[in-house]
Amino acid sequence: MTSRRTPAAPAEPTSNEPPPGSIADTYREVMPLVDFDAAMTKGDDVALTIPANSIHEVLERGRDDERLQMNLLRNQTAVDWEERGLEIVYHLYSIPLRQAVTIKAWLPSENPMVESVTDVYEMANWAERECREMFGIEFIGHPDPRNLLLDEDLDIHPLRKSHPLAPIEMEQGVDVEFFTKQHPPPEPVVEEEAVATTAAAPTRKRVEDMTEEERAARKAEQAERVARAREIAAKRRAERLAGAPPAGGPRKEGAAPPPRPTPAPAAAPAAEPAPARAAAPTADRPPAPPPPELPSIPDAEEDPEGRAAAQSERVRLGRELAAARRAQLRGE
Amino acid sequence: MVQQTFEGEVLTEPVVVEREFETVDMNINIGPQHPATHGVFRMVLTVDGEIVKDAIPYIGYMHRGGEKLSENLDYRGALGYQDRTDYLAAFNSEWVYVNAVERLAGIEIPERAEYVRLILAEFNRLLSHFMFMGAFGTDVGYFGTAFTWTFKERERIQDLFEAVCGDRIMYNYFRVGGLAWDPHETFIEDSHWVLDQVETGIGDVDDLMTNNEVFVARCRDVGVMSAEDAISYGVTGPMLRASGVPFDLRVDEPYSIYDRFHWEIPVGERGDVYDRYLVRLEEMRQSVTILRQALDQMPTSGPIMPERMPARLRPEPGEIYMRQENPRGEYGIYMVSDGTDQPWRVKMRSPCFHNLSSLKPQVINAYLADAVVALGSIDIVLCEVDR
Repeated sequence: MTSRRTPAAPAEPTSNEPPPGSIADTYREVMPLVDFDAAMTKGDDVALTIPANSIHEVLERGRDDERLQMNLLRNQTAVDWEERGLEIVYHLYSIPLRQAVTIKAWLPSENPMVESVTDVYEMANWAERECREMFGIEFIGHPDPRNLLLDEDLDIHPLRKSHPLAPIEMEQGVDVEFFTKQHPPPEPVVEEEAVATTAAAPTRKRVEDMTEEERAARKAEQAERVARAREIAAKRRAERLAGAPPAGGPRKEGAAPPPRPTPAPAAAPAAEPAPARAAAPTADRPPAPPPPELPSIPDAEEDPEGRAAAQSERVRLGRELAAARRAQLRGE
Repeated sequence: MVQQTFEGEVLTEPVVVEREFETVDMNINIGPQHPATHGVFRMVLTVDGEIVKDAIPYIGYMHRGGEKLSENLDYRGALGYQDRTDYLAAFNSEWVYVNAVERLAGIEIPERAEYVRLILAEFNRLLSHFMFMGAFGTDVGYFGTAFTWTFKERERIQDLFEAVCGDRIMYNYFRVGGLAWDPHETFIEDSHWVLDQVETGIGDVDDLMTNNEVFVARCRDVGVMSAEDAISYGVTGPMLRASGVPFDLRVDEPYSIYDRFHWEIPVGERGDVYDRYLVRLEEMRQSVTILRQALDQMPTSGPIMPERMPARLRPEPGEIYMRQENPRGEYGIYMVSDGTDQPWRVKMRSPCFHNLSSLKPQVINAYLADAVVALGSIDIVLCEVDR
């Protein structure tokens, strides 16, 4: 089984070379000095990987040349491949010639910079602003490099893989324990501090009422928490990369599948909540009968007939149970 | 001309005093909570008298990080977010997403499911354009009637959707590989009935608005955009076609089974707001044509899911940029797989995002009141702009 979050090996251009006479050859004809590395995507488009410093030239000449006429920049984005760097992607289309191409280039993860194509396509203005705030790519020569979708003075890059989802909630004061319940934290210190944060929550002051020192202290505390969450996330990622299956994620090969809740009988109580509900019966509601043994459902790929039979058996049991419960509540 | 003042003095002709009237540039903030902005969109306009001199749009109030969330769910789990981007054309957005996953994983889908998807997506185009007609009528300022009439037609289509999938806006009905369940038994008859009603409704809107003198005066030569500008700004859909470019992904890069039907692409001449209205009106008629052909060709029975589907989708490493023609333009999903059960990267190419970026050149040196009409003609859905 492949472990989660493993960056794939680099796509081999030799295995899916585009057919001769495709748009890749036209590009090589028009710009013989640029190094084009061609491949086919799953959507039957030609993807050309070029050096990052020739992006502006390739896009501008691709728009103006008679044989290409790439006049529509339909999409522009980036992909974060962690250690291998950032991949910046331009999807181009020629409306008169009805041909599409994807231009890609590799950038380093640290301080990525690329020339802006705002003077070639007006569309790149907003697209590059979004790309800049989401990935931290600097576009040299952009006329208006402000944040677009995020808050104006927020300096984070959320679509980077190094930005985990958790710190955002932690910033908002959600308990750390909530996130660490399924994955036990490596250091018990985190749990203690989490309890301390929860206990201190009711006496929290509003930011507007704080003094300068208190604000600074709050900011430092937040930064510390974010750093800790990043550490936890990095550790978890390292664990996953090492092959340990995450809790609640894909299960081990050959292990018995965990029981799933049956979809149809909503009235049938699950195995765990039943005793809790029976412990506190009200005067007019008699305690529910104990749930029967449910058959386990085999995997669909291994035994489709047995799976269907087990599912219908569970549905039947659940319906019987619900009918019995209804009859019991009616007093029969 | 003879005028009598209150003092009884009789003037033979009106006195006109000519003098310089100096105005100071003023900033006007519109939104984010403003009915003319169709959601939470804010623009700061610099006006000189009534003429707009500069416009700074602000978006992002609805940004929910749908791309990041989709990258942290498995391929099937992120489908629900597609309903929440363009909520007026949820079937179309869902369709792009499931198509992208299917082509990435190499899944063939049954023909009947393909027909049902196409029919529902075209109905959704009608639904979305009816919404435009109603909202645009009120934007222009005189046509509250259009709003009630178009909502009557929308109601019929939404009833049909409710019968098919049990929901009226957030459908979540398409699945990777096909559909969640079969449509109800009288789906084809109901669709024909709804089409008959809707066709009358389109005629009603046409009668009410198209040749209305006030409407034409309010829309002609407002927000003009040339074809070159529109292409450079990445504008797609009815807005681009109104500028005279016959670019429709259903024809230019045919996907699904659109090559089996015959219809025409409406194209405008001047690229103004009135042309955008006309293009959308004609597009609705063409949608009805497509729907009638599709309903006649659709197989009445057959599977709606492939016989065997993997329990967990793990496409081979690769990438795809799937794009389709939504009511607002080209909706694209750029999806990169790394071989695991979660996509490594999901990018939603939103048509409204780029259509809205072309607002600034449309409103500069136009009247302030025309800026609202130009904004309305873009037909934005802010959930889709911000994602």
